[in-house]
Amino acid sequence: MLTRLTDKPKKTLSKSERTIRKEKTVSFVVLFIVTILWMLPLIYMVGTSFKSDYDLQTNPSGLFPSAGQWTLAHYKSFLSADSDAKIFYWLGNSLWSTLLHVGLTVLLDLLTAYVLVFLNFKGKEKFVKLLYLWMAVPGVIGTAPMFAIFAAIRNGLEISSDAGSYAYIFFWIVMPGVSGIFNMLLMRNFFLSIPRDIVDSARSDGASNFKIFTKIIVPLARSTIMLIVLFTFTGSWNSLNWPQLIFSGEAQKWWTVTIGLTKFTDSQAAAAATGVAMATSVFAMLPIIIVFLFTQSKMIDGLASTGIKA
Amino acid sequence: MKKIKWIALLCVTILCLTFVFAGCIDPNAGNDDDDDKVITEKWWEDTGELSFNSEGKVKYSNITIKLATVVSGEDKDTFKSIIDDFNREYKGRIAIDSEDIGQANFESTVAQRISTKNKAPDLIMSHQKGHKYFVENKIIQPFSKDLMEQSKISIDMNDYSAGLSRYSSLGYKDELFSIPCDAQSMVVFYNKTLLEEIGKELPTNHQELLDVCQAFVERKGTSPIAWPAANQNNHWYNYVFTTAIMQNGGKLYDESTKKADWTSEPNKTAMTKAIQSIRDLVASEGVVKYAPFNDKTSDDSSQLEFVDNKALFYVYFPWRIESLESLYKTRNNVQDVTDIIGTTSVANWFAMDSSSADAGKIFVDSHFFAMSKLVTDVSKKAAIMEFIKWFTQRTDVCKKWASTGHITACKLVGDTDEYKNDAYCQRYLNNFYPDIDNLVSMGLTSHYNTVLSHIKTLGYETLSNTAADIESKLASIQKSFNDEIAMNK
Amino acid sequence: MNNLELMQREMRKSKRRKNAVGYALLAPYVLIFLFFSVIPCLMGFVFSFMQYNPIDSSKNMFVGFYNYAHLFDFTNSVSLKFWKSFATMFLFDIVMVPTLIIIPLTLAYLINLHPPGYKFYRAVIYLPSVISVSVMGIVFSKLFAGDELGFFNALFGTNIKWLSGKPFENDILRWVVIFIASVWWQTGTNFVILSGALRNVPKSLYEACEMDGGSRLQGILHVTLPNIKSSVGICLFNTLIGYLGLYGQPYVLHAVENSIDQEIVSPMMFIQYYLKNASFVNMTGYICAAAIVFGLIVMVFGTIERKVMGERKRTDKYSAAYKQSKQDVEWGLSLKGPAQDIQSVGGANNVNSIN
Repeated sequence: MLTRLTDKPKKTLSKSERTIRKEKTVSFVVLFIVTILWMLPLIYMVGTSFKSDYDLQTNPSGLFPSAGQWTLAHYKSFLSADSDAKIFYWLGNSLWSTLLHVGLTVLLDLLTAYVLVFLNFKGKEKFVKLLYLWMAVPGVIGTAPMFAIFAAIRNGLEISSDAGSYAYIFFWIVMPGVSGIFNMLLMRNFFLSIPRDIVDSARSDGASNFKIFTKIIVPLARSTIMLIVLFTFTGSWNSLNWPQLIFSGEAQKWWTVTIGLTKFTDSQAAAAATGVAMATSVFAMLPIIIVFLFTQSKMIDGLASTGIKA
Repeated sequence: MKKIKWIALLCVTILCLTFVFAGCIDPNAGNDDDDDKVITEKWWEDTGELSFNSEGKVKYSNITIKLATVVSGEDKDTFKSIIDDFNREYKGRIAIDSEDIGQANFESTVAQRISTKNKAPDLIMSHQKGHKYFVENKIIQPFSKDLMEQSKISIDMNDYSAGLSRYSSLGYKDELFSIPCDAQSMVVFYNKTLLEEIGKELPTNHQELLDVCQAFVERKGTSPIAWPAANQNNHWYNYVFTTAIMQNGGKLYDESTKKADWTSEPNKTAMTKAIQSIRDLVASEGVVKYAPFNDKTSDDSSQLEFVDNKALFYVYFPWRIESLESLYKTRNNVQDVTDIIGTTSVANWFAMDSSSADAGKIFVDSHFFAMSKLVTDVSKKAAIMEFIKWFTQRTDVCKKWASTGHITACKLVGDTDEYKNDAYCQRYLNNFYPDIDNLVSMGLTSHYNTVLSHIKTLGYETLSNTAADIESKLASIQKSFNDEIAMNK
Repeated sequence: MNNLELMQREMRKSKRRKNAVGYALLAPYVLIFLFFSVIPCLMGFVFSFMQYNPIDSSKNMFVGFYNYAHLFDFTNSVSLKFWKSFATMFLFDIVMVPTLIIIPLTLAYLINLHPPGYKFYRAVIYLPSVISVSVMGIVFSKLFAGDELGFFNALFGTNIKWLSGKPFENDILRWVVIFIASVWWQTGTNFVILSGALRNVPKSLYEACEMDGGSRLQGILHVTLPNIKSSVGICLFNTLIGYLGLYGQPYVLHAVENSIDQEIVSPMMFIQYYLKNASFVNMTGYICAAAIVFGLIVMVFGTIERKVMGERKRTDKYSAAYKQSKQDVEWGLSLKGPAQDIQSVGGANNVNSIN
């Protein structure tokens, strides 16, 4: 009798179990194929960077160099001292400017969202409305005039030193976009969802705004901060349009990685140096991957310690 | 409330109407493009006074001149060494601080720097094509005739190549804005042994060129002409295609309106002939073409064709000579190439009418010197003129500069035996540029970018598809050309 | 003075102080926002009614609707380039944008079934999104090089000229390459967002559907899709705006012949071409007008998209986004591979905040 009772549910389970298993197999097969295809370009890139020049000409369809044709020559060519190793400058420029951009964005968003949510002052709501409206305006409208402003202020300041010029140009790389509305509103929405009683009780305990901000709000906001960090990091690292405009005519050592690598697609001569192009690309990818590996572990710790539930 | 609304509506309507009326006026009417303008308001200054030494020459004390030069390729080192020579000779008096800026961004970079007064150079040495653009945007100032008299440093345009010096006024009557220095274009290296093998002589006109090519194809089965792929970096369009147009009497743009006039005679026939002459080479009958068009994707592979004795002619820039000769020596295991590699020019190659006066024209780009508008001290101005005179009129300097393939634009030097008999000139330059009066350059248009990009489109459209109708292409590309110029005044 | 008035005065003072504090702390944001976002846009608006030369200011003059008249003059070759570029980009977007929703959605659905090794697949699919666009360009221009040295040409023994041709004539292969490259490069982002959204559809709803005798397909239609609507809306918005501003991919995967007509295949490239090149300085006002017209078109698309996805109150969308994003991050963090961040597609942030 008992077995009979347990028989029935067993049957229904196994039916959906079978469907699930079928689906899992289908999904496994599809995803496996997709993953192989996805990895292809990257494998090609890495493999080609080790191919000797001779192999590049004679074995173009191989993902990996043929036997005996492995070489580090391409890496050496741009890493060695006499090629003035521009890649390091590019990576350096990209890294510090992106990190600064991200840091400023997060700080500004935290501060401004806090002010908009937890402080009261006249015109607060109107300002938020204005921001929502302005979000619809695409940034492309401002590119040409911003370029004109950039040049005009440079004229006014009459910067003569190299360091000054560098600082000025990177000011214009880092700052635009720090006040991105989307990110700030994201933060604001998160703050709006924090239960007011936490803040109110802290206030009634006599905590200053600053204390509330640092001790309560910021730790809670970890996940949104992560989100904004991730949104802005790749946006800034990858930006092509605006840096291209303001770097034209400047020393190559000042470029960012994304602009520097366009040399390989722009000029046919550089593009013909396949091995070097691939090696440089692989090398340029490494820091991003490393940065993400590092921040990932910190994020898991951070999230676990604040106890934010799913 | 209603009254306010009506007033507001009225204001808005008036505003809109002003916008519409403003929009109907052509802002460029009255912007005449003639080349005989007179300067009404100076945009530069003169400060200070000249001091003279006991010999009556101008005394300079530690003047530094920032020079921005477009020379940044294989000829860079020779240029640097020439600058070092000058600095040594004028030690304590004038020092040249030279910076090279690549050709791609030169005009925009220098214009920006001078107009924002940020790292602005004092002296510019760049391709002639950009100089009209400089003067139109008030980036450069003229060399004052008064100052020349005062300082006794005179530079007379009659001493320079006629073809180039006529651009020196940049369209301003009696003013001297730019001083020509040298010229360079694509030149021809040929294989003497192979030429003998097919029993031919160097072609002196287009038909002979075709005959030589045909003989080579029949004998060797490979393309006789190796030149860089047209899509490489625009050099082919900027030098070879333009030369073909010049040799057939064509005009890139009408000199008075600056617009392209390719569809009215006689220019239409000229342009058509030019395209036809190139088609004779890239679309010749038979499986093996006389010359490739877009087939090769690398600059170096065309060089390889010549060096591996598969091509008879190699068309490239003269500063390739050294690497070409050493590459030939290595690959063919020979010690001396003087009897193997010969030199000639593209003159008469494309002219369909070999008796025309234009047949020998070569389109070059020429380095010109110009002075930034920001220089005010007259001693500095005199120093600049002294340097220019030294660079362009000293025979030993010109000989050194010639060793990288730049022929002098100054007749005072070019006509001397010393220059003509210089080993390098004898072997190369005299053959590369048989007549410096026949050198033509972009001329007096500030829209050099539009000219070059449309010439490229014209060349590409008519040569990659050799059955394309030339007349309609001329018309459509000309329209695009003129529209762009109209927008950009 | 009685107590009431004293109290009122105190209240006003503290209110003013509160206001002062609020304004002071808000100031940094406002200043940066004004200087980098508002002022350039307003100036762009002004310049579009002028003939503006940033180098030689003596040539500046007010010209009213002149620039706009030229922009809408379809016989003008320069304006025609603008509109043609708009057409090429739009045609491409019609294909691209839905693909960048459907493919990630399908992959996300499959991943959520947790087949063996799913964590690895997630990482691999996401990985290309962190690569810079120029790296993507280098790799794909070599994979699809037009000569015999290109990977695919060598593999199949063909000599297909992938990256060449003129828009509307014979460059369909180039767009195929750009399509493939973009799918590879940008699926990851939407994939992550949609995967998180799928995971958060309450399982109980599926069970209820099954109880009602619904098939798998009905489950998808009636349970899954409605519940992930807000996430799909966000992905769609970001992708759409990002691809209206198409620039990077066609730039790095340019046609080998390199002629101007082939270069300008999207409005952003049109604007960038005439801005970059110093000899076109006199056209700055005209370019500003083109940018404004383009901006208006983008705004129209954005509004249509929001209406279609049924987002009426903006607040809702962002709390939805916030909720979604919170879940996404938590999901993302569960990945062990390098792919655990969430980014916006194609620099959608570039639209709202000039990067």
